[in-house]
Amino acid sequence: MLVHLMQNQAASLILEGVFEAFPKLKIVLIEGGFAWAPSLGWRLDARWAKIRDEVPQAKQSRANCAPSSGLLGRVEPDHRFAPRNDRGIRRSALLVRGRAMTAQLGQAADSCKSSREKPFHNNGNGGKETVMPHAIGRRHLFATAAVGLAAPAILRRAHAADAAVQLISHRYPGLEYYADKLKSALPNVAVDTRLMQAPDAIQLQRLALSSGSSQLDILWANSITLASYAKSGWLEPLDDLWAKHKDEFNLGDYNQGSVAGCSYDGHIYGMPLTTNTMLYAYRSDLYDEKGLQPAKTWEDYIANAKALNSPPRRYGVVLALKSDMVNNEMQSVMNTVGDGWFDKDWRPTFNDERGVKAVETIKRLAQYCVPGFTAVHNDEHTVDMSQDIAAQGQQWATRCATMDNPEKSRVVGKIKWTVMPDGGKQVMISDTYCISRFAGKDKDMLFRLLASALREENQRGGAALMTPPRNAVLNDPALQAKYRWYPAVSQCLAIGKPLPALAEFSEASEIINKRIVQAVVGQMETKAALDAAATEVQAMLAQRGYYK
Amino acid sequence: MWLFMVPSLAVMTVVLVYPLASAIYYSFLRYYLGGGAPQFIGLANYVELLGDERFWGDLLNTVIIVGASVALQLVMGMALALALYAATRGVRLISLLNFLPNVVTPVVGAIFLKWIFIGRFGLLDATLISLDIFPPNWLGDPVWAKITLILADTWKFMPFLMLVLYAGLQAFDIQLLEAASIDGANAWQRLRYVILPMMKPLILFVVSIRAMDAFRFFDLVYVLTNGGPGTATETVTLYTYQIGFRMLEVGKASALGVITLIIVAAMIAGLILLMQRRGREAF
Repeated sequence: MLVHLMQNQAASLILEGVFEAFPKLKIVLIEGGFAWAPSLGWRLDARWAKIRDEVPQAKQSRANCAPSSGLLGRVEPDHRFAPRNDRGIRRSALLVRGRAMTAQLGQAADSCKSSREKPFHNNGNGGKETVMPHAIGRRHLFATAAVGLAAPAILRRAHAADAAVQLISHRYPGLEYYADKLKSALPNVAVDTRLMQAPDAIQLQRLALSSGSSQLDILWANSITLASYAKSGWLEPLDDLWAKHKDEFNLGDYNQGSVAGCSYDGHIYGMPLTTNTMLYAYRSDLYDEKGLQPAKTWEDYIANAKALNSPPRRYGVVLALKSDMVNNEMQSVMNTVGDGWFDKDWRPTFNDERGVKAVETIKRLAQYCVPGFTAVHNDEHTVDMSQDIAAQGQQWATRCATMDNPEKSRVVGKIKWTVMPDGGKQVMISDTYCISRFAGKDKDMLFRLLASALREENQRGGAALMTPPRNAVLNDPALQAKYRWYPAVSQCLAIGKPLPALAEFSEASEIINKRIVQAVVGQMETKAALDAAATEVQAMLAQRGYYK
Repeated sequence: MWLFMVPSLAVMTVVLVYPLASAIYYSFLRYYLGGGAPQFIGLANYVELLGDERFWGDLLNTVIIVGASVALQLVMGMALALALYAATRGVRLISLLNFLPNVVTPVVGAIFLKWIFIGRFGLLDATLISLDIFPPNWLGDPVWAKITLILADTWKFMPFLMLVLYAGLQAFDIQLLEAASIDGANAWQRLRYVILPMMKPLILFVVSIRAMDAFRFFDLVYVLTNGGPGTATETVTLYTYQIGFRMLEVGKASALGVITLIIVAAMIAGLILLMQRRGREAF
């Protein structure tokens, strides 16, 4: 309390300009100690910039002094003025007068030898240097040192990232396997793999390729994106490299269908990874229990889904109608119940009478589907089948192995596979690795990297995860016996149908897929939704130079 | 003084002025990223978009989702702020726990929510089914998908409103409440006639900030529904993304971006005018 009173007095005398008016005035504060004086000085210094407008009386000081030095007044211990106590020892006393405060406060601090006051010191230049510049200086020093120490690490990382071959790929178990193989395919070649869901991968690839970035070297593509990228001139044609390294990597062993799936306009643009297709997966135990047979027609398929539907425990069927999965799920019904997506002149046929019937078929089937199917993609679809949530559905060949993996599946050995009803014509799509035309690395090295990662030995190792494109592996009786779904995959490949070979199919399907889902969930009447999609797709294709 | 502004002006030029000018320039072009040279087409992109029923549908979706979620956030945020204001113990812990969703990265938060709301094996469905409650189709039904998004946005951003309103209450002059109590006002009357009128400027401010932010609603909707089913939850920003990054129509996407900017700017101007008018009335 006493200290507070003393501080008030000192601050009041200084700030209200007493020493401005009477420069020679000396005031002595006694019986109040002096340890508070340095902290008062510090506070006045620190606050000067903010309070200066509130203390107009301190004009002289404000005019003469730098704000940070706070040369407002002077408080110093002067024990000559202190009264003696009853044993004759002087008590403390402070002298307050005009002139440089900070320096004198420093003297006060030295006098009281308190560690709290140590930051204040007298440098003999009238108090123009305070502790603050030193504190900032140290911080600067630390920051500079930290940046200096971190810089080599940052630069090394940037350099390493720059040196590594960059891959952007879709992610499923088979692609994860080959991404891993790429890392060890060639000695002294580092590969940085970025794996994500297909829509995200495609988006990133488009951004990199359309800007001509040299930071993307190799990329996963499927038949649709390969056609689109190749037409845009974003991919390196591989014909010459293929011929050059044919013997070294036994490239003649690739089946011709897979190579055709990696080609556009007569040129090879990709190294075949697999030709993927969708199988009719069903729970054989539940089918047997209900006395059901695998469906031969779409009507049977709906009837089976209805018979096995027991929500909320288990649903009759699984669908994934998010983004590009819509056209994959719809391909079979659109080609069998409907007339396909386009005619030979790329005019829409998906909105004709049979196309409407095809979409209505899926709409009826969706009544027995696991909820939320418009918001899910392949991963959730696989979980639904492997966790005993759905009784049947279309399933990619690349997802079959998960069903028999005891660590991931509750239905090991219970799922069987066959062809889709009404003659299949289900989606068939080649997955491939391509080389960007703008790749910053040597193209020959990149080709050898891909060919090496996809050599026969690695394809044997990955045979459980995806259908191998090499004949020596595909036709191996031992592997055919080992993987239960191989016979169904072979049947499906024989009757499957690739998506339309339209370079703009990816964009067209963005429009069509939205409208189909609007029809399936009842947001729009089916015919109206498909007609709207047809109009929009035709307008888009006309802008791209079709129908001339 | 101008010299001090140079660094910030330089940064603004790079990250704001240049992209904005580019977007406005591109909006007058037919610019397909897949090939072909950009072609000047004047206002054709704007005319096409303003005649596009999907754009108007998306605008309506945006207004519904933003309006409902901001209203819900305000009511819940105010209620929680008042509860914290009245609480005597554990305020810091409760406010910290409440604020956690706002700290989580939006996409990470959205993925959490997806695994909560996803059909059948999601956390919410699994819990409800174990209690013999038949869950709605959270993400697959057009109406429920909107409701789910509103709830998700509220979960994520309500803490922000709560915290700002709570800070406002902290600065509240307690004497006014004491005077009201002495005059015989009950709790509701104190809220209605004392607290709310005093908080009005802050409420208006925080709602306008949230509304502007919510208009750019993207990450949650992208991860949770991707605008689906169909276009039931497609917002204007998601449509811009679809046109730009899926259809590769850079010109048209830029035009839609400019239209969105104009709408948001008009909204801000309206709110500023409202605030100024209220300011003159001194609430």
